[in-house]
Amino acid sequence: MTSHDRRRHATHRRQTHSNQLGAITADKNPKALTNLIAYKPPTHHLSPAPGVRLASKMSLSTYLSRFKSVSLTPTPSESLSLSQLAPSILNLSITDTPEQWSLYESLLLSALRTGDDTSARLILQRLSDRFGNSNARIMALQGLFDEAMATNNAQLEEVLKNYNEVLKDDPTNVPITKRKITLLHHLSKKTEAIAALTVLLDLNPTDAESWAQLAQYYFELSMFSQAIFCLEEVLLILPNAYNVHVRLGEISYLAAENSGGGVEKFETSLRWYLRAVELCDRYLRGYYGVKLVTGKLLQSKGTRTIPEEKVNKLNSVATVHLNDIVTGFEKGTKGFTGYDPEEVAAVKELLAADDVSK
Amino acid sequence: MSLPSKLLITFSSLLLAHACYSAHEHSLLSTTHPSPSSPASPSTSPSGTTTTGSSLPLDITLETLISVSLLLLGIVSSGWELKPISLRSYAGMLERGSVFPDGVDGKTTVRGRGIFDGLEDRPGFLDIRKQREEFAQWIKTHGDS
Repeated sequence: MTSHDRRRHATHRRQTHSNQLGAITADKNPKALTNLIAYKPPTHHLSPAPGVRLASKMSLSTYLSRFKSVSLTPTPSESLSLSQLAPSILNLSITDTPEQWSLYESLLLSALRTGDDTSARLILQRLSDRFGNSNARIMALQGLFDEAMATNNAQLEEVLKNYNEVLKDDPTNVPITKRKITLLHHLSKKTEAIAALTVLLDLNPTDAESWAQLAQYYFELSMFSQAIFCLEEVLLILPNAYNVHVRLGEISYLAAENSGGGVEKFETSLRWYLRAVELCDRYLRGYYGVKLVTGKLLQSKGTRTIPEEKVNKLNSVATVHLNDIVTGFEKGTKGFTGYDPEEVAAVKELLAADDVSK
Repeated sequence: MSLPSKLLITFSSLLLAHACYSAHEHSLLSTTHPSPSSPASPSTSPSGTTTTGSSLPLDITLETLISVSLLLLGIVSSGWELKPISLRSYAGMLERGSVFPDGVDGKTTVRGRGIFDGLEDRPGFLDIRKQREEFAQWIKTHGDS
């Protein structure tokens, strides 16, 4: 695609965005809001998780910070404690602020994850009363709800058909396109999902999220060079994304292993890892990769472009950093508590294996 | 706060207070006790009173200036922790959980997060059915306990 095409698509996207914004303001309907305020909380079949405060007196911002402090892919216990906030959040008076609606959106996802379908239906109802059924984001949430409610594959195919109909009217509806792609992938139509995603990227080549998703789909099919290409596209949009650098290192490493391990391929992987470590201080994933790849390079025979003493030095630097991280995390030193316990365990394993081989 | 800067701040504050006190005393002295020469020679009194009433002696002025500059130096060098301004250190602190982004309560969570986590979570491509199944599995094993 030429740069001219990209620019044209970018402006086109901006226009559709402003159209959506227009739709939001046009669909304002204060009457519907007041009708929905009265709400009876559903009786939960689950006992409250330990540590959940009785949340009757918490304010909107406290709820928001509860949701923000959990990652976008929460663990089941996190989802449970979030979804148990539903009755108290739904009983708050509707203030019609952006915070309130973003809280509703997060709550909807939590409710769907934990199977609290009554709350989910109510939240969705209030959202669509406020923003209208033709709003692209609401349509995507509605689709998400339908997908979650479907009990068999036939119903899922029905949802897919709905998506296709929506896209026939408006091919630039990005949220619905993304839902359609995810559903195709879920139904194990992986090649169709990839085809649809490439079409979306032709329309909208500056969307880093789509490129990253395409890389994931290619990676699942072990098409490493295509995955690497997609992640490099992400780096063109977000050059500082150190986790993408690390991902590139990981995929290059796997590609090198798969193809029998050429030295220069491991060196490419090492370069990605080193850039990631350069962009993020004391980055566990980055140093783990540096240690792993330098270990491989020291074992393998073949002509290297990076001198051996340099590789040795990098290996020892990574060892020092990883040791620091492990001891700091185990002692609970301030500034070391945020690491993922599973990742730290993996580091310990790697260091132990290194000690044995020496 | 280090000890030298604490001492510097204490010393310069005392000096500033002393300078203020001296200036106050000086102004009192000049208004309550007009110089004895003024009634004897009224012709020089206008110029005489203006110089004694409005201008401070050089030592008080110098004391004030020096104490203020020392106080500033003390505060600047007292070394509070500066906010990270490079991506490298800020991203590292976020990943390690030393700082949390705006709106996140550091007390309810300990896990660090990254600036670009969205590229790996990808909310637009959320596979809700998979997450529901995972949760249902989890609740089967943990829910009843």
